[in-house]
Amino acid sequence: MRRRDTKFKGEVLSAPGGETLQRCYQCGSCTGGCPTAALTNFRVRTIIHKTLLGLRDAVLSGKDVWLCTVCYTCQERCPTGVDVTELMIALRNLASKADYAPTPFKSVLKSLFETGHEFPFTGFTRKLRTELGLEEKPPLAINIPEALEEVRKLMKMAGASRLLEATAVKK
Amino acid sequence: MSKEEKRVGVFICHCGKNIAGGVDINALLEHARKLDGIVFAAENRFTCSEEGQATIRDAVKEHNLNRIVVVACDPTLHSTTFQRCGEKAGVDPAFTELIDIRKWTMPGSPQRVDPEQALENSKRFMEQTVKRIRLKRVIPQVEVKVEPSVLVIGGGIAGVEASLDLADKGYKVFLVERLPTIGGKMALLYKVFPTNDCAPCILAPKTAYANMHPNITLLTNSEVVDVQGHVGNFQVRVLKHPRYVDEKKCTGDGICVEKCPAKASSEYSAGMGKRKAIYIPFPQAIPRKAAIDADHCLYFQKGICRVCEKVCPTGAVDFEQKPETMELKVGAIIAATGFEEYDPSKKKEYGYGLYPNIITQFQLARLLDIDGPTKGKLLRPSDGKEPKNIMMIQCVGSRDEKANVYCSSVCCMYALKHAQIIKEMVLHDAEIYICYMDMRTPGKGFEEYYKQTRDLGVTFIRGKPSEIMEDPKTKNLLVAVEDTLLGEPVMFEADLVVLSCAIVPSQGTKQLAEMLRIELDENGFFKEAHPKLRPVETNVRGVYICGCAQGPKDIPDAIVQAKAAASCADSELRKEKIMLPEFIVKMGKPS
Amino acid sequence: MREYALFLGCLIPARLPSLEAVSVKVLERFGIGTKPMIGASCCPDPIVMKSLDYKAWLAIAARNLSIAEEMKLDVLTLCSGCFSTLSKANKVLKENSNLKNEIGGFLSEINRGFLGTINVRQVAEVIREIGQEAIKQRLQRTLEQLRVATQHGCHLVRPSDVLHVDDPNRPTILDEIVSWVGAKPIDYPLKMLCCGVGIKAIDPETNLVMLREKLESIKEAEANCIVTPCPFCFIQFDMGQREVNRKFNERYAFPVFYITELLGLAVGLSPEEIGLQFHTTPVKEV
Repeated sequence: MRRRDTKFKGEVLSAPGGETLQRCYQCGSCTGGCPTAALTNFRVRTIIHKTLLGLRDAVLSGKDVWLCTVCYTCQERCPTGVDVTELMIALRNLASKADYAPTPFKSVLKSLFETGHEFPFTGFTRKLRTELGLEEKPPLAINIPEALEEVRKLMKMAGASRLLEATAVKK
Repeated sequence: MSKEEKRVGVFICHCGKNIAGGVDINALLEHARKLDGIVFAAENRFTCSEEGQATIRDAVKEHNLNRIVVVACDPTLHSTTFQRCGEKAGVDPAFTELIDIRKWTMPGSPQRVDPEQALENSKRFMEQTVKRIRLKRVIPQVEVKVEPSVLVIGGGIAGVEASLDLADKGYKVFLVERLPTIGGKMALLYKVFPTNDCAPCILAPKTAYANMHPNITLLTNSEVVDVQGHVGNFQVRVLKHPRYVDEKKCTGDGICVEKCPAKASSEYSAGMGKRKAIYIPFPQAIPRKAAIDADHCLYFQKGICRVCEKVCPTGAVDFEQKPETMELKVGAIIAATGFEEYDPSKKKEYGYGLYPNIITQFQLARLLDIDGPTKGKLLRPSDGKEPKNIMMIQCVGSRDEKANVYCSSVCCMYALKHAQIIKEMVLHDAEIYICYMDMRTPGKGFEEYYKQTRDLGVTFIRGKPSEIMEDPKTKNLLVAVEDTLLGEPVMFEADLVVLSCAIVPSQGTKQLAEMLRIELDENGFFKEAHPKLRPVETNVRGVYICGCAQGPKDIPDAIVQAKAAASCADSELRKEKIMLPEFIVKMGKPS
Repeated sequence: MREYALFLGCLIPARLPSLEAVSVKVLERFGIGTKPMIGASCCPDPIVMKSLDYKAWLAIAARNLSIAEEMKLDVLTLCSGCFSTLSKANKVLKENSNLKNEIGGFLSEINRGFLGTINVRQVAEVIREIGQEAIKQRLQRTLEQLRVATQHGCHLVRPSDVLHVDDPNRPTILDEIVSWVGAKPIDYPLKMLCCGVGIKAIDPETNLVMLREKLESIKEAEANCIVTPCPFCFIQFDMGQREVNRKFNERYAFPVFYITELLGLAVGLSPEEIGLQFHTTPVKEV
């Protein structure tokens, strides 16, 4: 017998992107057009239903919420006005807080915190840029310490860096 | 009147817990007793009840009241109740008022406030009302002679039914229809659920009688262009468009149609077939007279031909016919302008209009009709082959935030009907799948109809398709849908897809509402005076609505509403004279 | 001369700088100037960062928007991911007063503020605005041998309540631009299927199957190249084809063009000037 968390629905409803959760009438338009659903067992409709039923652990700890490609097809097709993709992102946020974020995603967060960018600027990049007649070091956060500091401050204020520290310890 | 002492009685209602649960009745009562002119104040659990009303009458007699203020619910609900109650005790209806404080107290009311605020609001509202009722003077009324005639706009089943009822009651009826024939959509449905009766067959006795009834004047090919006046005396201008055929001479033999060389897409075939420029809409058209479509007639477009004129044995063709304007005087108006099918090309993900083998249920009805463009053979548009795998999709354009939010009421049933017709009569071996979100079959005999359809082997898939693509070689459709009961998304290949589209208001509804000065609801249908209690009346006395013009419904419900509207009109018009306020307020358009 | 604040993002300046170079060059030819956004960071991306911490995502996006607001210029993005993030952040902050106040609070700690005074554009939109006439006038090369499968990508047109570039289900903006430069746009059934990059790190197998389906659909339609306005779709196709070929024993070899590369070819830039030699899947057509 699965355990239900009656507070879960409220958590999701008050998260940015989760406001429209309760409109769902389970028609399946979302899953019918989902690129991942066609190739795996990922079912966005079922995730919504489980969320409405309060099956917090099943939803947040599962790998399924991370299989959404964020293509927005479901949200576009939903006839009853559920922001399906934003809802999926809200669930991922809750899953992250509960320490279920996948490692490859956490690496991206780390890179953002350390350099202000999600992709590394390597020596090879700098050489390529010069060849193309571009500035070797463009005026982006990675090359401007004050700018990077601003980004880091924002991440700390919003709480993302805590996520990073927590995960570092886990490793 | 002004010399007489104004003796006001205030009656505060609990309405069970609806009001008493949200405001302090005692405090309100205390406040009432302090107001000027209040001779009597009391509370009551349910003032609208027999008991409650008796309290009012008793108080009027005992305390010689001549003004009544009931502090309770929405005036549209019970103004008349209390006015009649007061009248019985001798109080002029103009001096009985009902004010609504329940909107501030009742759970679920959008204007609900906390009890302190509700008390403040109620106190002030009551004060204002008492002041006003003491100053109020009755508007003088005039006696208006009632025209014992009715204008019915729309010649579909609802309009025809209302016309017949009124004509039988002895009123003169003007039935105005913008097409050259009456019968509306029902004539084109081939069969109707749940009896599977032949639609034009059961319709014909009514339309034929409407054509012959001594009290009914049929004005086809005509439109209402102006409405002035008020109940008992409306002045209506009707524009009769020329059909270029003399109705008195035309015998409906169809020789002109045979010989006409010009073709056009037939609106009666929903674009699935053609008709000639001179045409009789369909075999059961009433009146059975030809009409010329000037946009496609070779004479009107190029100045040549005129073959129809030459071959007509009675010389009925008249190219010189001009539009005619008629001025009618009627006592009441019934709007029965019906509906149209939602245009699914707006739902781009389905590809209607791009892919030839996707049609609507209305188009399918025309194909299945043995008098239709393919004489009852179901042939798919791209190659004329008989389909083997047919998929029907429900809720297209309905229950949809991006299209129409309402449920269109009849689509589940008509999809079942078409599935039954195909399986039983046309293609016994065809596989039919119906994709639905919910099956809604509430009417009499409807659940049995659903079962019958399952027994015929029609398969139901619970899931709303996300998108439709086309196989460019076969022109088959690939429907992406999740079977939610299985929890599996599938790519379904069908050689014909039929979309069950929503019922939407007819074109011209908005303009007609403006002419009649009636309101539209948020979906564009004519708005009823009260959704529960007054479904066929409007905010304008003497103007009634019925049928799909008021909202999606099936034929039995359309007939019931038509009869109800006729009954309302009868109630007004059976008096030779009615009393109306001397002043009639004219509202201009906001600038 | 129309001017924009050019938002580079991360992927292009770090991994595909040739797209940066050709875009600036080509836009200039059409009278569109671009000014650098000093101190801009990652947008941040609408898939990973938004999923890990929404508020941090919103705050960093707001910071980027504030840079453009200071420049008093609309933002021009070269990447649909940046387009999605910055457009959505712009809309949320303009309409949700609670979030606006909260994020405004964070921004004021770094001496910035969000005003809601500018708009966000994607390079494909801006090219469409140039118009058929202006493009036709500058055509220097025939491209009629190109049978193009357009990859609009998901974040150019969806969600349609935020982005108003084109129809979310059947967009034609790229096909229009392709036909303006004299090439032939080819319709194919899986045109609107996602490139799958969002799950590449999470489920690489499924990602490759998705990619292969797209490539197969393009092959069946007999297209001979792919055009896209998004560097993520670009990488998926340009580099991903190799992975798909390896895994499934296929031989896909569609050259992939970023939208300004196509425009560059059309107005007479040489393949070297554009940087086609940096593509993984070789470009031999031209």
